[in-house]
Amino acid sequence: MDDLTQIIDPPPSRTRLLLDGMRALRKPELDGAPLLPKARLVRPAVELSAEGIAAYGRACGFRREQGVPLTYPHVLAFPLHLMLLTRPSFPYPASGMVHLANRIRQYQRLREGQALRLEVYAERWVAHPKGQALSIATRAYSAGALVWEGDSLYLRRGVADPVGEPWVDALGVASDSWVRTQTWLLPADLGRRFAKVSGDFNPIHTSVIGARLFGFRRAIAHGMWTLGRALAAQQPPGGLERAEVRCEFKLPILLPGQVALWNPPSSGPRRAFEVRNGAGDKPHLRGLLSFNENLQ
Amino acid sequence: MSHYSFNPAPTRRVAIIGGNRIPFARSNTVYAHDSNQDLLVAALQGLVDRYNLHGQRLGEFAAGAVIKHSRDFNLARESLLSTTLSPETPAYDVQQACGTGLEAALLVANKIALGQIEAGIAGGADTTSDAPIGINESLRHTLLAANRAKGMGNQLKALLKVRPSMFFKPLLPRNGEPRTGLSMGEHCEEMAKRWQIKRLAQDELTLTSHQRLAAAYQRGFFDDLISPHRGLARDNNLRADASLERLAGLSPAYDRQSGTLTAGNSTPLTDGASVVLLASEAWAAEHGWPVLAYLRTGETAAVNFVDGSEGLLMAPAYAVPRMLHREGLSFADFDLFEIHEAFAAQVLCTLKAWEDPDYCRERLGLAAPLGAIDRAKMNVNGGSLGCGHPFAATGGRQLAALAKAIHERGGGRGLISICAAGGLGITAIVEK
Repeated sequence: MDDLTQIIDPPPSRTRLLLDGMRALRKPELDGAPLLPKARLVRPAVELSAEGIAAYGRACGFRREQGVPLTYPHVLAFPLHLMLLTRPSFPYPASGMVHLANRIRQYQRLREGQALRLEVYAERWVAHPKGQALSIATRAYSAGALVWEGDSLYLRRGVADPVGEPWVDALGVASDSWVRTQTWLLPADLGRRFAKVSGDFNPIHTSVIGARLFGFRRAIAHGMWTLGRALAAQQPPGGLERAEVRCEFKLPILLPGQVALWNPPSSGPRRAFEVRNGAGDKPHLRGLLSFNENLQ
Repeated sequence: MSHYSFNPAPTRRVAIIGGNRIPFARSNTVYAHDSNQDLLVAALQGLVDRYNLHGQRLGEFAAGAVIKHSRDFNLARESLLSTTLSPETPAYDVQQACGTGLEAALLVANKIALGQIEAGIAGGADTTSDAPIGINESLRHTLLAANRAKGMGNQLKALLKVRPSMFFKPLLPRNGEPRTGLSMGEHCEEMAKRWQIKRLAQDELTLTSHQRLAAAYQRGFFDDLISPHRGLARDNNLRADASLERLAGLSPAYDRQSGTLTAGNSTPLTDGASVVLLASEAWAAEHGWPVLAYLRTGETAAVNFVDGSEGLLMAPAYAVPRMLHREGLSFADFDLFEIHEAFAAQVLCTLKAWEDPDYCRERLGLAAPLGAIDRAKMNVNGGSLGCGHPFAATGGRQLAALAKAIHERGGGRGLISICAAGGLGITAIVEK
């Protein structure tokens, strides 16, 4: 069944995802090169519901006048990512996959009430210095046209001879002239709050004990929350037509905590940004947001 | 069809008759138990006493506060009712962050200039001692849901969502920009770094502010500008014995590693209130009051600080050249400058910006830089660093002090400049 396009309707329940996740905690030792999962998971019509957007917006700090957040379709597609990563045929344990980078492109304005056809599939292996990375593609169609797409790079650490094209660090390094433009206080229950809107109940984000099991001192902020918060701070009022954001996740943010947004001093609709620690010397997230006429 | 006709009255000069304020007190000191209204009433009653306005119906009283309780929705009117002014004097609240006091004065002045009123009072008060503490947001939402619910059963059901922890996490007022989460000091620290403002220059400006304020008290300059309140006769932030050595000993307040802003060269949280009496020349003559000076015009500006392309407190740098261009004036035409000192660094950034040819060309659109301000003409009777800064009360303090200083020297022209939260800047010209 792995070769099939598989229609997922209704969406997987939270329990189902949790059970799959637990079943996928252990995987047999891999013999040779990993095989790329071939399944294409499809949800034929997911509504961009006003309530869903509002709840997601509250969690990340988006305001209503900003329209549909650029990252919102990712949240809708995330259960499919999880289904792909927890399949018996997937070679690595899902919970050990680290979200490394993300690229989102929007080709048309998204509207509340609009229905999207979401497709998720494993696109390619990427050889990363720290292990084996996998790019998962998310495609969103409306009336047959591709309106939004996301490419998420997940990493399995410690794989000796990773396959695929080599990883390229595409985002430049910040210069000394960058300024801190915002600070955010992150409460201890941020992970649980975001889980309610994202459906990602990964214990490293939602509980101290869960985080300790995976080697973190405390729960860590969800990377997609951090990206969402950064976009909420930078998306213009009035909603986006065409837009692109590229980001790389760096050091984890321990909760509770305080982090800051940094930007180059003069910036327009093509904005580089970093989320850094309180002292401003370590990056948690690095990104580049372009929108509307400035999209290349 | 109705015929639209607008017949502007000939614009009239707006006389500044006088002002009154209470001494400013550092937060949680002498005025710890006073509300905004208590402070505003004290300042207003002092003015009414000084200018014998008892029982008089004036055109209006416009005033405000930056940090307000929800019960202060009609602060100016409620304050007025507690004084001996005629209760038939209308009043309204104004709020433009730290520009509140000056903006209120511009509003009253414009009505006088247009002939809509003959005399009015503008002012402002602020206390951070009696700050509003909101109930927990979740508790508030729960209570509102219970309030909306129909029937006892549904109301009780809604109230079941109240959790004990909600009572221990109140909503505290924050001294930070809502859109950036950065405190004003942190914003100003970024500006100081961008403009490379030295610590020593900031401390020197602070010292001058204290020294000039002390000297002004010494020679009785404030005798007819201040009414004592709660046993306080002068601003208790004033350190007549301040020295560069003492200021140098303070550690950075907002950036412990590489910062230059300290508790000394930044204004502290302050409680206080101020009011100014404005009138037409005819009203002044009729009541026999000399005109200290005229409020000629004002200009406000705003900058985009959200994306970091401009510093939060840099808006006056834009407002002043716009106003000078409109009025056909240059710095050479001014004898006095009243620049609000929120932070010594913010004053120095603004002064440096006006001297910078690149900045003046690229940001302000000026062919030549505005130029330097003679420090001997700036804040000659002390500034906010010396007396403190009760947000909405600063404009009235500056306006009255500048008008009196112009009157004392027998005429001249002065500039007021105030930076405010939200990237706002409020400026005005006073002359005689």
